[in-house]
Amino acid sequence: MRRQAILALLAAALCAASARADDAADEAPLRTLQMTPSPWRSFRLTLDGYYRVRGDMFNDLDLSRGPSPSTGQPIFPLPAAGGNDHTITAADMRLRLEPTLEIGQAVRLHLRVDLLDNLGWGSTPDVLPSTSEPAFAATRAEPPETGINALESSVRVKQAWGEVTLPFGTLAAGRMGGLVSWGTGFFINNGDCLGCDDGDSGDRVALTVPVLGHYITALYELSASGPYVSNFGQDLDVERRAQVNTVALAISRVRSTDAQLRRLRSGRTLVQYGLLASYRRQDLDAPGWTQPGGLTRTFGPNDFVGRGLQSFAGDLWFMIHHHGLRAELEVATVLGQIDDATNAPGVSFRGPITSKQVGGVASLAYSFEWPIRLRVEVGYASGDDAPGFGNRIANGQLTTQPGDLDGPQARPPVDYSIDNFRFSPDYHVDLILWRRILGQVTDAVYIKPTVRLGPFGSAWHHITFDASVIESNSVYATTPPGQNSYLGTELDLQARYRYEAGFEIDAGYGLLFPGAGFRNIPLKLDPQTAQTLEIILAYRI
Amino acid sequence: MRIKLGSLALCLVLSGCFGSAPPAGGDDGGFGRAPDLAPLCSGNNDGVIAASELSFPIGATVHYLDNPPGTTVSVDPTGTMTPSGPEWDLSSTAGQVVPLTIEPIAGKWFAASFPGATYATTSDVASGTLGIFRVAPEALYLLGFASEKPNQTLLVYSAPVASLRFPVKLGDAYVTGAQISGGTLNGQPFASTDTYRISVDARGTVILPYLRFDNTLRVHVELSQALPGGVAVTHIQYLFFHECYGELGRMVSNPGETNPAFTTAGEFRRLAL
Repeated sequence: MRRQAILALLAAALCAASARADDAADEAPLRTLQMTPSPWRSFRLTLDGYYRVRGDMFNDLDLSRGPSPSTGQPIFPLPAAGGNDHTITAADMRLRLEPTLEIGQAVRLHLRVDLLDNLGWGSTPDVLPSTSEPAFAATRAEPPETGINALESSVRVKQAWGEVTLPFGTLAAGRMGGLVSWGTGFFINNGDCLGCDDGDSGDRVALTVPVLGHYITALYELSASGPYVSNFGQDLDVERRAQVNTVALAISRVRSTDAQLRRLRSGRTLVQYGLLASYRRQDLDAPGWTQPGGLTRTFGPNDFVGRGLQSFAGDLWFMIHHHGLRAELEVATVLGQIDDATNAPGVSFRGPITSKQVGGVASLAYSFEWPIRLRVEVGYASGDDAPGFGNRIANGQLTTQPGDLDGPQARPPVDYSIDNFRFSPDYHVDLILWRRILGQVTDAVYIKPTVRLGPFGSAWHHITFDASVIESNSVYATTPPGQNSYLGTELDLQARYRYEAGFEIDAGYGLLFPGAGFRNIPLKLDPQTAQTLEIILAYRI
Repeated sequence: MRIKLGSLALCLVLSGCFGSAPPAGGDDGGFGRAPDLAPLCSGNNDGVIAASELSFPIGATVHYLDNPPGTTVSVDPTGTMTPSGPEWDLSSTAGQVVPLTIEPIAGKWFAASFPGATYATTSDVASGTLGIFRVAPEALYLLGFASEKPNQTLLVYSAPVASLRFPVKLGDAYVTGAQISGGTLNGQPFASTDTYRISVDARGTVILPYLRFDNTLRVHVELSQALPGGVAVTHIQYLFFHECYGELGRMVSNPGETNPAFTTAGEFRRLAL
């Protein structure tokens, strides 16, 4: 009886509502709810970025140890005209603009645009392209133009993505930065630092939902589309199975920078952590797509190979900061398999290439009474027992031999594994060994104690000094060219002057005492001391 | 004499040309870079070998596995039938590694006897006798044979023998031949009339120890040599060709073989990969 009454009331209410909608022509029309009323009157443009001028001098970074056997080249460029001077210099610039357009209260559009991106000083004089004028006749610098006087565009749009805050979370889509914004940066790195040259841009859709003080992010990335054709202005991926697809799920507890500062200043403990799991897959591949001419040719069934790539990546990060003590740990792994690693359609490997890689960074820092702060960092990157480090492979180098600095780590038919974990090249451990000679940390164990003094000065002008000693060893003695796991000890001195109005000078000097791992055994040459000097002028926005 | 003549038949050494490293790109999920198998030339994997899909880089050395001279070995030129075609198992690792180099003609003692020749390469492993070839857009021509050392062996065909006609494709068949007159073999006078019956009679997959080659063409060669005095010698050969990788292997019958499905070979050669 009671139930019938409730239903009758509901029916009456529905009828009443319907009657109002039909009969209310003389009332004010209904409006839809607008989260962003009058968007064009309430947008806000903010701008981040910097202009960087960087100068380097590298002295004897080839360690005067002679060439690698497989490439016949020294491990670092030498003066091209010969002679005994082993000094190389570099000077470049970059203007990075990162505008954010906030439209109303919920929508944001982001850009990362690099202008004159790492353009070398003096690389585009007006005597280029080659004319009868010699270099010394240059009267001015010309703007770089791809294919005319430069190899890369003077304007490079590296990221562009949109973001909207929905009632249940944040939805972002486009070409954006790192998969996650937390962590030490050794595994995922957005390339934000002043000295960074790479970054982790990708084409992604990400949904982040706050749950119980955590952020849960689900993400899809189309890492590589495979061959495509243009059809009425739209690029069509001609083979869906050739796409490299990545999905990821992350959970983190990360506070904003301001919230972190507030918490620390109030004497409370700051705890942050994150966990990431990602899975990548590719069924087919058209090797010709990534080879010269691949963007313009057509593809048919005979151009594809059964790639069968599957890989899993996991990353765990934890950080605790209490008063002057800060401890941080991050561990990552990559496990995977490539059923057929061939780059020639019609020719297949009979066995898969497998990968089991682990890397990690742990650090402990303590701030004593001003101005001293001590920090110790330990890093590990799993190795592969093949000769060479496996970071950069020279053109035409198909295998490695003892004595090589680098080269492929899988060497069928005797070696089907690639087990060396590689740190992000934007994670800088030092100034010489990993940064410039090897390019990134891999197959390594290192320890890096650092003493920091400062900041000295005022709130507007201050300078900080860092002194670090980095001792590095390889995991496998078969990896370094000298067939010895001791790679060397490096002393790095760095000073940072900062003017809070938006200017910064970073100066660094590095001195590497290379170990027996760089001995050139066939030529019986011991590696010699290397040094570098780097100065960065940064005009911050 | 007969064994040597037999092994002097159709001789092709092509580049097993592994090529440049894969293009630079992003991280493939931490895999690093796998070994590159991209050949120097750019093939299209269509099972038809165009002239542009074979290269002959002078100075290049290719390593083959071969049974020792004077021995025989069991082979299966018919292969195993699979839904995608025949599959030839050349994965045996028995034998000895033989480096074969594509040598320039210039400067050789016999250069004047082979005008227009492109390269020379070892055709008879036991004696080191060289085969001399000319590469042309329409065919790969065998011009004759010569010893490495002067005045020991010099056999010049009266006309170039088209050992491969481009494009090489399944179903091709032709008969060609030429004469050798006034030649010298191991310091002795020599003459013969050679007839080659060449057909591309199968398309399938070759299995090497750690590689598979799909769309491989099997070239069937029957050589008849008529020697002075009415003596005739016949050989059957199967050569396995893949675009850009060239000759993957060969099976050469003993002299006088008449069974196309022979199971005992005088030579079993395959890429030492």
